[in-house]
Amino acid sequence: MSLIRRAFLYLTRKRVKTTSLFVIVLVIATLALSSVSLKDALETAQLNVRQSLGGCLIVVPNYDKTENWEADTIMGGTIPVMNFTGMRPTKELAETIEQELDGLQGYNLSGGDFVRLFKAPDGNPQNGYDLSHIAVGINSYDAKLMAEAKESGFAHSDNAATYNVSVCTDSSLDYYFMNNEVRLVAGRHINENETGVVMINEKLAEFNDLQIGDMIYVRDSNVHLYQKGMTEAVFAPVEIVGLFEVVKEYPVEFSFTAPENMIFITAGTREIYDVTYEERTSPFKSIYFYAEEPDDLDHMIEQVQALPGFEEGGDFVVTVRNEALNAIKGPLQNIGQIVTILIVLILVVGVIILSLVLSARTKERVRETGILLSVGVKKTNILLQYLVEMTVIVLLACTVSVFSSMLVAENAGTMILQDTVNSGIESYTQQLDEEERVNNADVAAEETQNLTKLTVSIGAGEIAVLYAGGLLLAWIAVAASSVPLFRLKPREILSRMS
Amino acid sequence: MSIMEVRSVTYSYDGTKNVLNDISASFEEGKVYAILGPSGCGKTTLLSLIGGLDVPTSGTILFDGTDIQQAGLEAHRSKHVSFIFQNYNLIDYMTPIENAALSATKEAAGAALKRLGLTDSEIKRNVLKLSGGQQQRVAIARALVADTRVILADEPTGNVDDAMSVEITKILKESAKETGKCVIIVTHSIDLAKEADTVFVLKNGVLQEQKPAELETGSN
Repeated sequence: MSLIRRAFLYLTRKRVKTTSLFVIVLVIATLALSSVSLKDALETAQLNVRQSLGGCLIVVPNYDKTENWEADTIMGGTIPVMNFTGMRPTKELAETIEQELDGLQGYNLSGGDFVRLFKAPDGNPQNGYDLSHIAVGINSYDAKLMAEAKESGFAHSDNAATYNVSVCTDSSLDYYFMNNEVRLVAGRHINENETGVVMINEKLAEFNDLQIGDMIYVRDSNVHLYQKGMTEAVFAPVEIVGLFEVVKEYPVEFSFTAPENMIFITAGTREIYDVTYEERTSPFKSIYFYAEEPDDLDHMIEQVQALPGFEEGGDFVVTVRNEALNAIKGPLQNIGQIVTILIVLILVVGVIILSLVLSARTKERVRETGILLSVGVKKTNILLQYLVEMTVIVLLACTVSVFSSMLVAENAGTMILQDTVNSGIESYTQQLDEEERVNNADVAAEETQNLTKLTVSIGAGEIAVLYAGGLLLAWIAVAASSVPLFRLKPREILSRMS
Repeated sequence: MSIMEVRSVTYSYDGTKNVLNDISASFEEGKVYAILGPSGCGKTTLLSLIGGLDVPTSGTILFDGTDIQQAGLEAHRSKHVSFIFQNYNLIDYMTPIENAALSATKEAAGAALKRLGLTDSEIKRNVLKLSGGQQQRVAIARALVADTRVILADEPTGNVDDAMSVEITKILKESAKETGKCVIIVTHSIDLAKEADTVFVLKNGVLQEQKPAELETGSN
C-alpha cells in the first residue's frame, strides 16, 4: 500500500484527530495572517486618519501689517471701508513653496466670493432667473418663496440670492473636501486648467432641477456692480461637472454662507464675471498645503518660515493645523507596537502548541509505526506518510485562514482603531470651547468613523509566506517529534507497543 | 536445504547477561517449527533477530545463505519474512482487507481473508469491530498473502480460545504444506508445539531440538 493511500486513509478515518489538528492549525494560521494583514491595514488606516484630521499648512496674507490696509469709501462715498492692498497668495508663491517641501501630497490656492447663479432655459441669461437656495439655518431665505417668486417674476434682494463661491486651483484638495466637510458624489473635480466648469451641491441641483452637463450662469453680486458704477452684470456660462454632498452641517445664520449653497469654480471663470478682477493682485486668499505624512508638517512649517516674505512683519503668514492629529498621534503609534508584539506572541505560542500537539500525536502512533516497520515499510516512507498528512492539513487550514483572517482582521482592526481614534478625539475636544467643538472635533470624530473602517487585503506575498512558513513549521515539528521514535530499533518500537 | 539459519547467535540486552547464548539452528521451507520455552526465556527475542527487527550481539542470521544484516534488515523484513503477533497488531483505521493489503494486492488480501472465513461485510468493517479470533485471522492473512518465504508467529494463539487456537494451528500447518513457506512459531503451548514438524526448546539461553512426540502434554 502506498504512503499516499495510507495518509488518505488516516485523514479520512481518524476524523476527530484530523479535525482537531485542522482547527489548531487554522486558529494559528488565522491569528498569524490576520495580525500581519492587520498591521498593514492599520498602517494605511492610520495614514488615512492622520491625513483626514486636517493636517495642513495654510499660507495667508499678513492681515496684521498696517501698511497693507487703505481707507476708502463705497456707495458714492457714503460708507467708509478699509481695503486690503497687500500681497495675496499667487500661483508663483505656491510653486516656490512646493519646490522647497519634500513629501507634499499637493496644494490648493483658495479664494472666496459671493455671486448670483442663474438658470436660463432659453440659453440667454438675461432672460433667466436666480437658482433657489437650499434653506439652511436661521434667517435663511425661504426656498418655497423663491420658487414662487421665480414663477411670478418677483424681484428679490441681492443678498437673498447670493451664493458662496470657493475659487480653487484643484477642488479635490480644497479644504472643504480635504476636511471631509463635503464629498463628491457624482461627476468629477475641477482644476485650474479649466474655465466654465462648476461643482454644486446635489440637493441644490435636485431642487433646481439641474443635473451634470447642464449649463448655469455665474454673475457678480450687485454690491460689486454698484462699487464699479456698473448697471449690467457679466454672465460667465458654466457647465455642472460635479455634484457634492454636505457631510458636516454647520449652524449658520444665513443660508448663503452654508456649504449647501456653495459652489466651486476656477480662477478662469472668476476672471470672466468678476468686475473687480483686475484690481486684485490675485484671485486667491490662501494656499493649503497637504503633506503625504502629516507628521512632517511641523518640520515643513519651519522650511516655509525661512522663505522670503515669511519673516516677521513680512507679506505672508504660515500656520499649521494639526491639533486633532497631535491628539491621536501617540495612541496610533501604540497600536502599531501592540500589533507587532501580538504577531511575535502568536508565532511563538503557535509554534510551541503545534510542536507539542504533533509530538503527542507521533507518540500515539508508535503502534502503527511498529506494525508498518514489521511489514517492511521503510522509516523514511513512514515519515513521509506523516508529512503528507500534515501537508494536507496545513494546506487546507491555510486556505481557509486566508478568508477567516480577513474577517478577523477587519473587525478587530476597525474596533481597535475606532477606540483609539475616538478616545484621542475625545481628549482633544475636552480642550476646546463649545463652538470649536461643534466646528472641529465632532466633525473630526464623525469623519474618522468612516476612515477607521479598515479594508483588509491580503497580498499574494503574504499568502505565499503563510503557506511556506506553515508547511516548514509543520514539517519541522513532525520531523522533530518523530526523531525519538525513529531512533529506536524496530524491536524496541514493537516492545513499546506491547 | 535451509532457508533460514541462525549461526552462533548471542544476544544481551545490557552487555553483561546473555539472553541467547551461542545458539544455532536452521529452518527449511514447507515445514512448521515451534520454539518452546517459559516466559522471558528469549523466545520473542530470537524471533525478532530472525525477522530482522533487531541485531544479535554476536553471530549471524542467514536467509538463503546470505547475512540479513549485510543484505539490509528493511529489505529482509519486506521481502523475506512476515509476522504474526500475539496481539494481532492491526492498524486501527484500516479495514481487514486494507490491513492484509499492506504488503500485497487488495485482490490477494481479499481472497486470503475469505479463505480464512471472513465474510464480504466483515472484510470491509473496521478491524476493531471484529472479534479477537477474527482479528488474528486478519493478521494471519496479512502474513500469508505477503510474498515472503518465512512466516514468524509470536504466540499466535495466545489471545484466542481453544477452538480458535486449533483452527489457527491448522491454518498455519496448511500454509506451510500448500505454499511451501517456512513457519516458525514461538509459543509456550505444548499442544501447539506438538503440531510442529520440529520443536526447539529454549532454556537458559540455550536452544535444543526436541521431537514433538516427546513433549509432555499440557502447557509448558
